[in-house]
Amino acid sequence: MTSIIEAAPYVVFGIWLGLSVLHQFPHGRWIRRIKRFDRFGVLPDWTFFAPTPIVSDYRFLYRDMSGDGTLTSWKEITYRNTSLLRSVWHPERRIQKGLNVSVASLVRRAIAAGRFEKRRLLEVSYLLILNFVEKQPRDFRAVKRQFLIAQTRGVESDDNPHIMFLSAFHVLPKA
Amino acid sequence: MPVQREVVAQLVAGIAAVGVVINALELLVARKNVLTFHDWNVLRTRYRVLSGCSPSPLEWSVSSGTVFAIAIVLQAIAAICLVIFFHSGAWAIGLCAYILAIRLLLGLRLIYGFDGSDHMHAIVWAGLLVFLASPSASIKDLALVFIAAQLLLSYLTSGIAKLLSPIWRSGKAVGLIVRTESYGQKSVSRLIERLHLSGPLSRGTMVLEVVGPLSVLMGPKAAIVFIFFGVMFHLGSAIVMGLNSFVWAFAACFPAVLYISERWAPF
Repeated sequence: MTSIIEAAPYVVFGIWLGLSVLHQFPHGRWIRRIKRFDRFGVLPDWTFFAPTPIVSDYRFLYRDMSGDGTLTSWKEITYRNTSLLRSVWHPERRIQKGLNVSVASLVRRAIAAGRFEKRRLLEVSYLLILNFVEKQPRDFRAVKRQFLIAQTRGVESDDNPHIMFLSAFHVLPKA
Repeated sequence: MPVQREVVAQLVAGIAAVGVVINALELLVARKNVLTFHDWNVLRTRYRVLSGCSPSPLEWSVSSGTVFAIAIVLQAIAAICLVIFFHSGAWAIGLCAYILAIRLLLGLRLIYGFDGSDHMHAIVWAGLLVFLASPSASIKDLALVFIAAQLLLSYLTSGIAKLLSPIWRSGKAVGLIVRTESYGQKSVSRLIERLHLSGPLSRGTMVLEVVGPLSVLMGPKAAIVFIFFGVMFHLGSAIVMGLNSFVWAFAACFPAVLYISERWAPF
């Protein structure tokens, strides 16, 4: 019995390290299956900004429609902390990361399918973005909201923003 | 004089604890936005076990905003207490287990907002839990080896992935990353462009990430050089890219790296 208890850490850490190595190859069929069971986020992805670095920002804009069909102008949602303070204090990083991951997930699937399939509207990534957009301030007359996701390449870039996605009008939940 | 494993573990815990406290306070401040974004009614559909049943204790613990706030405040307090009472036996084990448990539950709850520093925290606290719970010197060493091995794996993987990337090899990557609003600073971006630093910084990052872990094999002196550049790298990433949480999570592993290098470096 004692030897089993003593062996347990070797087995657990050995498996954990082994799966961590395998997890660096995310396209492997086996690791994708195993990843499904990693509910607590213990298998790391250590590739950090590689092989494709993040070279653009996602921007979220929305506009509202009132009951008589009048549209507001587009408003951009600000959710990033760009001050130097974020080097020690960065509470916004969770939302920033969550939005980046959600958009990347939708884009990856759209590229793989060659188009944006309607069933993606029921995916967690899309619902999280929609939920985030719906929670932004609104006028009391607003009944529907449309959003768009644009991509910009750096703060000093001369490139025009690339509109990646334009949603349908979603009925806003009652305030 | 060789470094004592107890001192190493305490140092690992101390540095990681700072990260836990900052992380907990950040979550506390931003909890309304974070929990609104990570809407539990949406996220729970990912979990087949939870989506169709009535609220279980597990679900209640991760879905309630009040419980969330209390749990993370207690996690921060536990991290501080653990540093103070590191040698207190059962108390230290309990505190460490609590910190790890909350980190695991956060993984369930904030799945889309998780990053590499969160993964490293799970590794560090699991390693420390085994270290504290085991009376065996060899298992304590195993725990430190596990922490160090994951850090070395992280550097090597990241370095190899960059070496395989044409954009990284071209030297343009760092310049393009720091140009973004999400991971850059306007002033730093201008400086890098004016002084043509993107190439040296991109290639320097690749060299650090590939050669650094291998230097640990050369003994403690080489390991100290790697650790120095590693800490500088994480501080730089925090200042320029806003990756503040990586400083504490990754720096916590460096004492374990020095320990294994001192004990087992073959050269």
